Amino acid sequence: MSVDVSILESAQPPALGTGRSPAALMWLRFRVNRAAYVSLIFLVVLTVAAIAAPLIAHLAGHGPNDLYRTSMLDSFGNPKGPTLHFWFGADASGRDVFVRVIYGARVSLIVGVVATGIAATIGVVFGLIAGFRGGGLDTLLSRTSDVVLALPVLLFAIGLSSACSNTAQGCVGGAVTPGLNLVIVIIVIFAWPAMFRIVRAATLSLRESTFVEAGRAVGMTGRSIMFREVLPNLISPVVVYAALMIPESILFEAYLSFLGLGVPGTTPSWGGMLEQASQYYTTAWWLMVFPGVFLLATILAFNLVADGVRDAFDPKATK
Amino acid sequence: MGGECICVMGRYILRRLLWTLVVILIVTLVTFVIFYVLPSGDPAVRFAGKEPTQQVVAQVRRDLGLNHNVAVQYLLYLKRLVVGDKYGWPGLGFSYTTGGAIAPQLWQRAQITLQLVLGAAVIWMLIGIPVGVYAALKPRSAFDRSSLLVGLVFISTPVFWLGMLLLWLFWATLGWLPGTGYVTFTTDPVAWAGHMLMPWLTLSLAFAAIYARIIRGKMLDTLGEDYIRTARAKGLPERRVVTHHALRASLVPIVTLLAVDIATLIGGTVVVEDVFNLQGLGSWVLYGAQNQDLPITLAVTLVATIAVSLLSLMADVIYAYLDPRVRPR
Repeated sequence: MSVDVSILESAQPPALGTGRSPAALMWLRFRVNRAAYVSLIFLVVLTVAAIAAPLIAHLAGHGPNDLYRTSMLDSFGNPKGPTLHFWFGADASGRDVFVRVIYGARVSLIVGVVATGIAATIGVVFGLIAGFRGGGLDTLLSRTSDVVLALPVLLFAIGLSSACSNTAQGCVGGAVTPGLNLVIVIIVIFAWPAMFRIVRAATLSLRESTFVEAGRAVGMTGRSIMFREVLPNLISPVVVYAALMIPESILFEAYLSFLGLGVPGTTPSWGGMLEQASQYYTTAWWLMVFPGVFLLATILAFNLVADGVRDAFDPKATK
Repeated sequence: MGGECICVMGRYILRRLLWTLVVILIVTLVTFVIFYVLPSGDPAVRFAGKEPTQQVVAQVRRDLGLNHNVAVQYLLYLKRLVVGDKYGWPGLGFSYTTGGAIAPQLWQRAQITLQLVLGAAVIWMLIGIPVGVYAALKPRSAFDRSSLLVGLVFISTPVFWLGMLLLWLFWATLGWLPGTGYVTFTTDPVAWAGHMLMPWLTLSLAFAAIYARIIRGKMLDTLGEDYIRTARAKGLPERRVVTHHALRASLVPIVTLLAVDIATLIGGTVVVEDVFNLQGLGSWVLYGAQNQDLPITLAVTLVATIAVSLLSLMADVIYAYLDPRVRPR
């Protein structure tokens, strides 16, 4: 009896995603979530604006640190509000708030992406090793993460940044200097353990699965089983959690800069601008409103995108 | 509870206690490294505050034993903490910018921070529990969805910005509430509450959102349990099923979470104290950081961290008592 192959093929269920790759399917599911989709568009526009910040400053005609004391400060030295040329008004030094807000996006986005990237990588690698190999190394890494998670983050961040900002040489013999890289180092120190725990727990349960056993049977080394067999199965929790880490990092940078312990004042950052605004909020509302709205919108957008990513990875998860 | 059970419980508490001691020891080591070893330059000069004189630097060097090698310095640091120093117990030293001993002022400021944190905790539970329960009773309803969205906005709002907005609205614009500052409860309870209301709200909104979400999830799980069906089947009124059976079971895990969050917040009120000008631990640590007064920063970091580990120890013990399933082996 001969089998007609074409019948078998046509008998396959005409699914929605026929012929689509997993990535394309996920994109379809992501787009259904309208809030996440709009948030993503906002973040893309913001990123483009941040990259093009010098161009925008050029078009506006004001650099981020250009002072317009005569035109934008009144006779008492108080800043003037939004005008046709200064869309978001001027700050207490007579600088263009609009241009500074655009430049401020750079700091937030860099911190969010770079700090999360480094912390997530450390968490994933340590988690894989600890979960897969076990033993003394696992105990050491797990206990270290326990201790870090038990520390009051903000206090230690303040302690670290004040200890390291005390002199221009910074910490660890000059390897960590005050400013943006100190902020990133601090976030990484406190952010990796959570990712580590997630990856370690998932690796522990995957270690006993048959495909790992199969890998061993065909003579794969431990390292290639970890990174080629186990890691691809962890993509979903890792990506979802990393997406949640980004808004946390951005918020944390804003706190440090607001407290005057983050990025120096010459680099425009939303937290730093709000710190200045805290002295003027009763008289100059634009100083508080514009950087604050951008900060809130960015963090909210990242949170909504993270929600959408989670739903796209796991369509069964009920909200 | 049988004898064996008490023994298991005792062993669990003992093990947990030992681990807490280890954590505290590690914390002293970490703070020592951060403040003594990591930064470049002479530690005596750093501890002596801004622009110190030669005598002060020499005195700091003598006080802290900085002539010895690093290991001995650490042991001396530990010894001062345990037995105290000439400025009181624990041995946290002397602030060279304010010219006062650290320890007494630390306890005084801790009271303000505690009032702030505990008051905020009450508020976020008062908001979070009803919202979470109501959302769980009507999942996917308009209320449920909007509470999730509003919660996400609260979680995404930077605390300092929220504080400034509240101050601008209720103090500068409407004049309904007093502005920044602090009045003790004993001088004027009404003024005290008035001054604390905005800091409490600022601190609690994000937590209220998080707790509402958690309680909603737990309630949804519990409402699907068999004993809830039994309770309904035997004809209990729905209100009683929800409050006496479902909510009670859902609140057990919240106890641990609450203790840990309160503990963490003791070190997390920096921003709120800064915005509302409350002279608690948070604004003090900030003062220390901004004025390069390392003894203050070090003292608050250390004491708050120890408080965190002790409170989380307490939380774990309470939880083990309430829920026998988590007791290890």
